[in-house]
Amino acid sequence: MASASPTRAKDIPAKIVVLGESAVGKSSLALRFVRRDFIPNQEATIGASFLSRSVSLVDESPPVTIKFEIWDTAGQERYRALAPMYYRGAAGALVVYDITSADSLRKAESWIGELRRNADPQTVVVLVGNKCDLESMRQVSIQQGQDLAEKEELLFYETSAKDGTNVDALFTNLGKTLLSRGVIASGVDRRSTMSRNLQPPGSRTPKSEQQKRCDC
Amino acid sequence: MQFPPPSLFDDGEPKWAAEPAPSPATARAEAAEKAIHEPLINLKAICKLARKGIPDKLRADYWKTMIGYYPPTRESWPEIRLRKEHEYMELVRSVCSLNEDNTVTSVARDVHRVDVDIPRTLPTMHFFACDESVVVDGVPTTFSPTQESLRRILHTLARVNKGFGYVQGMNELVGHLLFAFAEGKAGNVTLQIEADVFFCFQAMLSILGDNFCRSLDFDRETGVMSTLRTYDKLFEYCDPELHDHITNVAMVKPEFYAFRWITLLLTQEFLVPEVLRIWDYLFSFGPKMSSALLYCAIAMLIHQRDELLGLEGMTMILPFLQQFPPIDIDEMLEIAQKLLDEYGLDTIRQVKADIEGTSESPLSPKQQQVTSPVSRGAAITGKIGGFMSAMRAGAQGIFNKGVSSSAPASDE
Repeated sequence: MASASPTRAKDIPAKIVVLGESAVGKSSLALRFVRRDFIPNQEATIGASFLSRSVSLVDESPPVTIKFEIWDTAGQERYRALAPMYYRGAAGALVVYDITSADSLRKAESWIGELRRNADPQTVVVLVGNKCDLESMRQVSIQQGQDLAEKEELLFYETSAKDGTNVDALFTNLGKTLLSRGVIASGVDRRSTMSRNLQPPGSRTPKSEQQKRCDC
Repeated sequence: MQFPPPSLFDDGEPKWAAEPAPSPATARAEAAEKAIHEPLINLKAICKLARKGIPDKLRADYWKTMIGYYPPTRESWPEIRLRKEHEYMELVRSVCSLNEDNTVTSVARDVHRVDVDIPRTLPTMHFFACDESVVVDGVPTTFSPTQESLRRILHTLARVNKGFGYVQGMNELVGHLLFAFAEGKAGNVTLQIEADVFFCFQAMLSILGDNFCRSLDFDRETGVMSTLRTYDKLFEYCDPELHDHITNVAMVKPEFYAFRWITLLLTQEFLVPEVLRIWDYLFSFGPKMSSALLYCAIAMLIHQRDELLGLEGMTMILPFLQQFPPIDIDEMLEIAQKLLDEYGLDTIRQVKADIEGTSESPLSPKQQQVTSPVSRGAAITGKIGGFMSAMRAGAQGIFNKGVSSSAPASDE
């Protein structure tokens, strides 16, 4: 199991959270990236699933390997109150909508707002329009997605967890952005990744999010 | 799940042989059948039988009785069944808009929330399979007859329980009830069964409902986070070493894995027949089923104790817990029962009181160390470790009460 492989010393861990409306394909996206697999009618995520995959960025100098530690969250409104537990301290956040549902884009906007208010300002946010294989049912144009991403200064991708379009590209580019913005760092200066200790007082963030970086 | 299992006696058995002695499973099935057909059902007796597993065809009657939906007077059942079916249909009609064939029409937004999850409910079971699926605006619009039943139940629940509305996860619990009550055959589903499922789920909600209530998430005394805190304390109390390894060293908090175990009654962790077997056990505790569930969750960890202690850090332990390996459910339930026998439901009350700060004599691990030189966890897991080895060696006799193995847990 890829997700269970122990981290090698040089791997740089990057905590990524996946947010968005129910049934837009958050789990499918994570599973496509980590296991290169797609299961239609994926069961609803309750709580959050944890998956990880290491990716080598060979064209960085020096080449680095990022270990993406992905928290795939539950989409339904009921579980929204639990989301901060997962996005606090995240290096990156994927805010996913379904291109066949205009409604899901509105929900994505509200997630972006919530991240702006409550997440670490360094967190790199990627707007992801999933299900781009369903072109005939499209309700959200690429332009609409791009406009929102530009307005909010986010990275933007349209993906298909079903056929794999842009999934690896998204994570590779996210990894590069995390490095170039210094959100995660290779070498000795791991302290720059520790800005995630900045949390509002009384936050319920488990200590794990600070400490797991050190023990793996 | 095949029940009863094929007879151990093949056709080659000499014709003159007397009635072969029934296998323990057959004997159990016969006892189960007899007990539920008594004119005045002995609740204690059927609960005891249920803990060993209920035959598929008796499951619905057992669950309905144990959960308190059916009274123990069996002769009253036919009348109740008719009345409840009528009551259910009245309720459905009063809160849902229906087509001529009684299917729920899709218009309102909250209809969508339910409908999106219909194809995602037990998707691998033929029971719910839909031949062609048409999706409009991200919402499915075609359903199989069993899926239509599921829709009617969930839409009605969502509107009747205004406090919760529809919460993801309810679909899985209702889906399992429907599967169990129809004995896994789509053709068996009737409005009467639907009504039974509806009212049984209402009874389950009254026991487990706080876990679905968002406004109680961070409530001190109730709600899912409070349940998880109780679970965490109980786990620490039952097995401090394993708890320390998972929760403190690897930082794998109960929210990360037990949240789903507890809200979904383990439906996503095991195959459907195994889940039904676990529910036989849980329902036998009636209103105390949520306490029994906590012991089951801890029993799962103890069953995999050696494996878990061999894994280091969150990135190894958490994926293991979130994709729990297939295990022998009977063994796991035996461990849960051992824990329950050892600590009982009082321990949970004590743990809750400690957390809420209303306890007069806190139950701290430190205090345990003082009272018992061998930590409780080592003691119980020692017994269970021995128990598991014994099960494998086919020598269950050593488990007679009072015999406790002081050897460290060995699970070879």
